Amino acid sequence: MSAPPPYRTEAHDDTELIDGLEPDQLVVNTTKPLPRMTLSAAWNIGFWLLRVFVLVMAAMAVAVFVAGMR
Amino acid sequence: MSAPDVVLSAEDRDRALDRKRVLAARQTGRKGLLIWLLLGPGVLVMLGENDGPSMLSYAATGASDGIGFFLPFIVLTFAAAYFVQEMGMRLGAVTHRGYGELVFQRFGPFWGWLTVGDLVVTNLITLISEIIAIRVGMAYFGVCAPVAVGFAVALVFVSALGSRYSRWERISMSLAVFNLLFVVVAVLAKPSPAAIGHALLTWTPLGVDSLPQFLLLVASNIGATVTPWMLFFQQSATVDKGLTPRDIDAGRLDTAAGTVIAALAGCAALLAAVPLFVHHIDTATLTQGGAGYAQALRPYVGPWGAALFALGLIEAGAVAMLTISASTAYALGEAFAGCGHSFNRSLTEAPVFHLANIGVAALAGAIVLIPGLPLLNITLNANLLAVLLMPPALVFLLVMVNDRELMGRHVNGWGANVLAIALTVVIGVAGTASVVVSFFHAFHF
Repeated sequence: MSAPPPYRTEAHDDTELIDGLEPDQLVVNTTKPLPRMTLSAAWNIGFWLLRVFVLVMAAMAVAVFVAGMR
Repeated sequence: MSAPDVVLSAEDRDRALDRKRVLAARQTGRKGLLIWLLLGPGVLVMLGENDGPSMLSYAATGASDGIGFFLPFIVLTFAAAYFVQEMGMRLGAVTHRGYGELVFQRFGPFWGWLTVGDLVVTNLITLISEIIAIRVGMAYFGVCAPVAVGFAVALVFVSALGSRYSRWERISMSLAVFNLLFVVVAVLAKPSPAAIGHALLTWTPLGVDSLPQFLLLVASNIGATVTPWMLFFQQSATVDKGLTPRDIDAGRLDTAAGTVIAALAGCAALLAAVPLFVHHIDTATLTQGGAGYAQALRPYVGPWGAALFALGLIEAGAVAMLTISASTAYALGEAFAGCGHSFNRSLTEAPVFHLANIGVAALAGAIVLIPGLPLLNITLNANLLAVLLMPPALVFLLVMVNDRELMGRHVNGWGANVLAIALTVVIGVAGTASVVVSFFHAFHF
């Protein structure tokens, strides 16, 4: 048995329905990934610091959670 | 756009049917119908935030501290929530992409998986507390725990049947209306209008020992009302509903309506429990197990009032079950690109989405039924995990909502940015302080 299509493709009423949606609202367009955001050096450093901050905080939060379970 | 160029998917077709009704209402100038059709994500996210634990917490606050400080404070926290959610709604209406999807695509997989992973864990634990609230509410009517858990999980399953976002939304909205039951209970509690007016106008200071303790309390409460699942849910639901930039004003009205109703119901839950404060009833054991607050309020609000309070708790937990399960489903569906993430898709068309929606609710239900688990410890300690995610989530929201490449002319104005930055700093400081203080307390430094 073949795998089902990612979504049904019947199109007989499309002429009536198509005006209800904006072009960039169609699934075929929203599934195209957007490019990565281009960040300045300062923003890059900021996001790296945020990574370190979040990981440290996550470690502390997990430690508190585990300690609280005992 | 001409029809022969495009093949509509089933998801497009369902969404287009809903949009046709919106466009027809707009063209014929039927404003009431238009507003009705566009209401949904904003009301649901705010009433989903007024969840079972929140209503119990408001009642506990009313019973232990009265209304002087917390009545105006609830209004303030919901104002902050409106501000954040409006940005998420706008981002969804303009980009037609969910929050998780945008974080993955614009900031890369590290942030994508971190936010989705943290959200799934915290949502699971929040759902456990929702089921406990439903169980507490149903215990008032003598319903046993397994039946209460089964009801909660079945509700999530049934609401998603039919593979239509609009159907799911209207089921959730029809349940959410019952959040206002708390207003009826508050009226039955006969609060003093003069005392309410005095509380709202004067904002009596809370009796805490130190300024840091006070700031931590304030900031952590704002952090508890502005939560990551709300961001994921409203933006994705806005996309699923098919809102466009033309609908932004209606989206704002939707969010504002949800904010007002939720603040009203939250204040009502606080007021409903004030008789316990006035009569110095010990509330230390009420939140846990049994019929709790509903039973304790019975002498002051009567049997009907107590029953309505219990029903309100069931409703609050049920709406939160639907919205928080949906936010988990949207987040995971968006994380696994190409798997589909819409209520307009069937189980075979979006297996990750639907299995996540029902699976997380079922898992939470199963955990609640395990005998001997320290559920209170789990839910209390898990709050830290939610607090952890909020500062970066707000930073991403702020960056994206100011990104002209994404938002065009719908970027934030300077006033909105000043407020958003202030809110991000407050929540960031609150989150950091909560985690650090808890860490030092847990390990006795």
